[in-house]
Amino acid sequence: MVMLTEDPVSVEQIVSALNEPAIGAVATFVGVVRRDAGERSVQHLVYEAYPEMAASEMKRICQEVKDHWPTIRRVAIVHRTGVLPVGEVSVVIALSAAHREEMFDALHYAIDRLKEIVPIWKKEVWEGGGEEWKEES
Amino acid sequence: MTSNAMIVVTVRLFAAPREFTGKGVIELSLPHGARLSDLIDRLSADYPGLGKYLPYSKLAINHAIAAPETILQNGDEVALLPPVGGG
Repeated sequence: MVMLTEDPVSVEQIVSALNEPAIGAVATFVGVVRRDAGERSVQHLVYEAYPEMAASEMKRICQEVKDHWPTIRRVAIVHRTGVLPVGEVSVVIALSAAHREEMFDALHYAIDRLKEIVPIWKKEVWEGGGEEWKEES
Repeated sequence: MTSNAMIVVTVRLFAAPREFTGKGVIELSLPHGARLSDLIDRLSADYPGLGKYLPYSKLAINHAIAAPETILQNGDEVALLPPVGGG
């Protein structure tokens, strides 16, 4: 399951969506808007997506995870777009499996891959003025 | 040259290049047989200064990363993708 949304993201809802009797574990990565940006303080972030391609690249990552780690049953990737104040959830990746083995490797791969290939851009808007489009970090 | 010899493609811009040009969508007519690199040359000529983003950007045709020598087809959607920063 992949989704781009301008609305607040509920981690609990995403985890629930993965639930089924066959699974024994769900692992999640939750990205949150951080205030500190070097010497500056972030007032908010603006996320912009190329929605059609972002969705297809996120689906590609889901498939790659399942191909690499056949023990993973379901993959959910939800990314928020628009204006996000400090502390808001920007991205959730959730994986389900019968057992926990390999889940953390798969999760690590999925978030690294998202930052590498999914066409979503992030602009920092700083306290006291100024802004900058940021590259993968 | 007749209109039959021209193709129309849509160019989508995002993030810094979108703000720089003030446009998220640009429609361009190009000669039949034009390559992606020709489109980029044309954009650079139409929007002086856009070239500074090109060395760092990837190009996509119809949502898939494409090489500059790719020949464009009528109705293609081209996207200029600066370095991504999701997550």
